[in-house]
Amino acid sequence: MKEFFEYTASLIKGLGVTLKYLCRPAVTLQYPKQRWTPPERYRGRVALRPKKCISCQMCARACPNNCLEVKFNVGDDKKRKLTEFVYHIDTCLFCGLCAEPCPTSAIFMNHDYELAVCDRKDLIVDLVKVDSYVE
Amino acid sequence: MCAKAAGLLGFVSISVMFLIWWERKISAHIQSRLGPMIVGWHGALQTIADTLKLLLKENIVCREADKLTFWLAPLVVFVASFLPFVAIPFSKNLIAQDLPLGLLYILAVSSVGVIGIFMAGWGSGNKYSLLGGMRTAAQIISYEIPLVLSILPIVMMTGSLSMNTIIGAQKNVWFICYQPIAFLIYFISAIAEVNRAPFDIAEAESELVAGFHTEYSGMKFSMFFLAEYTNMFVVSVIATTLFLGGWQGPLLPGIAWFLLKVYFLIFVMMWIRWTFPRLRVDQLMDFAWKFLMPLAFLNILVTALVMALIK
Repeated sequence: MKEFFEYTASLIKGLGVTLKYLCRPAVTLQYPKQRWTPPERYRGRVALRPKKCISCQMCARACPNNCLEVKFNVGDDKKRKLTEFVYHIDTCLFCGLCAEPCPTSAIFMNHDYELAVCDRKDLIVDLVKVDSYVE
Repeated sequence: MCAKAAGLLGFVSISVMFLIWWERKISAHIQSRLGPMIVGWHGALQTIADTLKLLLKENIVCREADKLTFWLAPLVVFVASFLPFVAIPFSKNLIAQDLPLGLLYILAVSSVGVIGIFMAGWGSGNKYSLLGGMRTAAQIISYEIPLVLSILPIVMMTGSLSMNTIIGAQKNVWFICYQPIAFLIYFISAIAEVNRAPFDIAEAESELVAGFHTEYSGMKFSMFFLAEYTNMFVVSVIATTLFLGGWQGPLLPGIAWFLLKVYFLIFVMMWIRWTFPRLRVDQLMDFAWKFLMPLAFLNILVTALVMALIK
């Protein structure tokens, strides 16, 4: 008999839980219409402030998947000048290890998470051309 | 008569469309989702779109099927769920035919549905369908007994089987106050009668694909769907009539009170469906035969004793 009352109480408790959820707002976002605001330290794709980059290649070395290629010319003043910053989004694992060693904070992870493309070739981008972040 | 039948059919179709949308919304919000949102206001026209899709779908009859049984089954199920509407009192005068044996008629015709479900299971020529059909037959026949036994005390108290007379007897106090246990037994058995969770072993998705309607598609499948929700409406109507005072209530017109009570009971059924897990077959049978039936008998006995004492 004791069990019977315990079971009945637990059934009512269960109904209470679902009723509570029924009255709460839904967590679903209607995606294309509603957008999600990523948290501040969210790691989207790698992004570059081309003017800040000194082509030291620390980022390329830090990358565990070798998905960054830094191409540069050496000028008459022996300073490196960035010409191309090839980023393979298809192999990137969004770990953020490239952004950490950057001495000038030229490279960082932005909030862009909509990275789907129609052609695989589009996943290999030159950040010097794509990004125009200025700071 | 044809006008009445057409009116009732129209009401049933619209009501079922609303109920399907409502159930999808309730299930969604219980799971913190939104449910249908695109077609119409908050997805209100989604069921119409789905019905159109079902109408246009191909009617597949599998090779092993017993063709005639397979074709007839959805009709039997739907007709059995639709016939009780003849004796349903929507309001004081809004009743197709106030039969003196209305309650008996409703119980009798609605239990024909089990034959249709068994026909569907047998006619499909599929092991899952057959298992589903046999389970349903066993379940519905078992739960029919406590269901009828829980109604008996009300009939004893009113001395009538006419729906309007029973409602009239609840002018001052609803019978749920006199017979709370009978109401609980009735409601639990009713949920089992319409094969809804937690008693949905007939179509247990995780065990039997979809049970008796595994092989059905298109319009025939939608007939089963229509019948399921119509049955829900019918059992809620009986509960409202017998225990909740039917169409009686202050201020609002009779039909409004009636539909409010019926839809509230349907809401409770949906709420239960999206809360509890499914019972095992043996647990289901144990519950009907070892718990509900003795309790229903005890309830009749107590009612009879009290009535004899009062007299």
